Amino acid sequence: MKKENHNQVALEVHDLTVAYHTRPVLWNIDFEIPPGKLVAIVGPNGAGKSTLLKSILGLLPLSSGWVKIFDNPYRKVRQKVGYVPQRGSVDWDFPTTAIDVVCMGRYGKIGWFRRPKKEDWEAAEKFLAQVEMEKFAHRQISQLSGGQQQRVFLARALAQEADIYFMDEPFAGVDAVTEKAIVRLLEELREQKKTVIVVHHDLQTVKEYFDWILLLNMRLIANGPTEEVYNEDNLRKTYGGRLAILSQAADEVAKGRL
Amino acid sequence: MLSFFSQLQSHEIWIMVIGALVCSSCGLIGCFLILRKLALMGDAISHAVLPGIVLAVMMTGSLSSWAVFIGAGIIGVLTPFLIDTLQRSGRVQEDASIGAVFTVLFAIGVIMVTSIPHVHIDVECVLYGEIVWTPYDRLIIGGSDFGPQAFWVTGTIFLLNLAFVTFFYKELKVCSFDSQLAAAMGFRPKLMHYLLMAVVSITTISSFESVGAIIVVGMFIAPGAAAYLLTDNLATMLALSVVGGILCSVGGYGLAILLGGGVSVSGSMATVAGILFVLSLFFSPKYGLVFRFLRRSRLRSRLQKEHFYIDIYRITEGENTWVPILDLQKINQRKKTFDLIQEMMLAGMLEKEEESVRLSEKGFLHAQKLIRAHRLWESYMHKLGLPEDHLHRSADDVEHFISPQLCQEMAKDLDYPRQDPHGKPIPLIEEKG
Repeated sequence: MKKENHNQVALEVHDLTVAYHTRPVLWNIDFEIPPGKLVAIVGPNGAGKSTLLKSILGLLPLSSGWVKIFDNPYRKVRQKVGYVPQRGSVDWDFPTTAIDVVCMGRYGKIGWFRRPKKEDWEAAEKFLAQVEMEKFAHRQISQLSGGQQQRVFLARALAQEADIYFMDEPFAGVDAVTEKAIVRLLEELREQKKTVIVVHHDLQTVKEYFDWILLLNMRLIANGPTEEVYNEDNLRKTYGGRLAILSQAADEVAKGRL
Repeated sequence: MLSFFSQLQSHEIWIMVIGALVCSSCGLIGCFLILRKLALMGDAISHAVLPGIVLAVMMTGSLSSWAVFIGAGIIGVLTPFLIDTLQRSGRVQEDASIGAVFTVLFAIGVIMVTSIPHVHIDVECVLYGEIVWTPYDRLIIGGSDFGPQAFWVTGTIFLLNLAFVTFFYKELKVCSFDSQLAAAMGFRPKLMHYLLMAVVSITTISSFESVGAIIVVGMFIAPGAAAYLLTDNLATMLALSVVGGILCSVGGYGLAILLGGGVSVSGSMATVAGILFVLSLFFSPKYGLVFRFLRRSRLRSRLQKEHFYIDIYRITEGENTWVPILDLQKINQRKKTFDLIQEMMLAGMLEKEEESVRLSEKGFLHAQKLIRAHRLWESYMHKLGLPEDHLHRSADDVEHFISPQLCQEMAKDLDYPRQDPHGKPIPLIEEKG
């Protein structure tokens, strides 16, 4: 029974509520995602998309609820999880090179105190080549363009050799060539039966790139295969004004808790 | 300089060794403060520990005891914790919370020092240090002399810092660069942060007695900041900050001797640290102001020359014939024209006969390349929909930088045009081998 469950559910989120300081950002989120899907998390600004990713990865405290990845709590399956934070969340002037950043993806597998070995550097090289960045391996990262930096981040996630990937706006501020390269990469990952969950902003392309959509605006609006979920009614619910009530409630809760 | 070293006495060597140990310890750990944008944390901790020191002195009655270490150590770790908590409360920015916490703690320390009669702490000593006297405070165990006590204290601290940075190199790196990824991978960025802060506190306190607070604050920042300008590699940056620390100590002592009299040795060391920083600001090969200026002026002279090729080419348009120098002087200033002709003749790009010049074969090829880039760019931008009068300016900038490969791609995209939008011919270049 348990084994079967593992095969059917890559990610399970149950009654998840998250607050920043006193203000609730996500209310009672419930959903399951089957393995092997390219999933887009879609919603307006402030809908809690990044918050959802971070709370799944244990980077934020939960007010309530739990998360299971491959039927386990996150900290038991760290090695199976890859993460691409927003590009703007790090200091690109840090004294390091592209290949070194990719190698950081190996650190989780290497563990505390031990140093990266030759295999790790070779793997880093391989993944850097997979995003067509091998020529820039020894380039200081601040001298890369935005699109190139994003590719380095993706190569780093690949270096984690995970089964499920979480990517926070990988398409933000990249050129068309990089966007195509990222899409190709996502499709390769799907072919390898990996699950990829992407925070995505662009409604134009979401239907084309992803086969599973999770619509979010502080609460879960819809979750399912693209063809079932992507319709006008759901989009109106996600982007329309009806959620004003939730946001107002969040304000009032925040005020009340002060 | 040679005489400076040959006349050294043993106590002077001790001063420099102790100074170097302190400066290198601070430099090593300071690198991470700089990379984590916490440069002021060293400043904050070094001030905030004062009440801890006073409390310890009040309880034990002596300034040089382990109690001082412990008292200051506790406050040293408490300080970043308070700063963090204040910041997380919501409405206080990080810089404001650093400022608020350490000034209040320091002020409490000052009140304690000045209001409690039987506490004797020489505030001046805490601030400026007495490194000159450190060689005479010996470590004596069982009647035998093991050298200055400060040497053993600062040496231990240096080894501690070195071990910390070596053991946690990978962890410190990933936590400093991308704390979210580090946390997701199971490294503990918070824990690393407080460990780092603890090491900063211990380093600060141990350095107090020997060199004083001001130099510690400077050493946390200057060597690391200088090293940051010199390299793009974290390990090299750490090594350079140690070298910088040693230079500060030796150079600082030399400076103090040079200035003579009662000049503060600690102050001189901090001054040298400042000088090192300014030197790397100006002379760093990659980021230095001097080299950036040189690069820019080299580029300017290259552009000037390339425009000159283009001017000559445009006059003869397509054929490489003799051009009267007078015609060129109409475009450029007289003197500049002569200078450019001189320079290009030396480079073998130009030939001169009486009052006329002609491009050499090499020079003509170079001019063709530039014109080709210019006109292909114009054609390409025109195809993208820019009107004719918008084309020339941008082509004038771009022509110097785009590669032959890119030119080829543009030509292909435009189906190998023979003329630019203004009707001028686009030269073909026969690729050799």
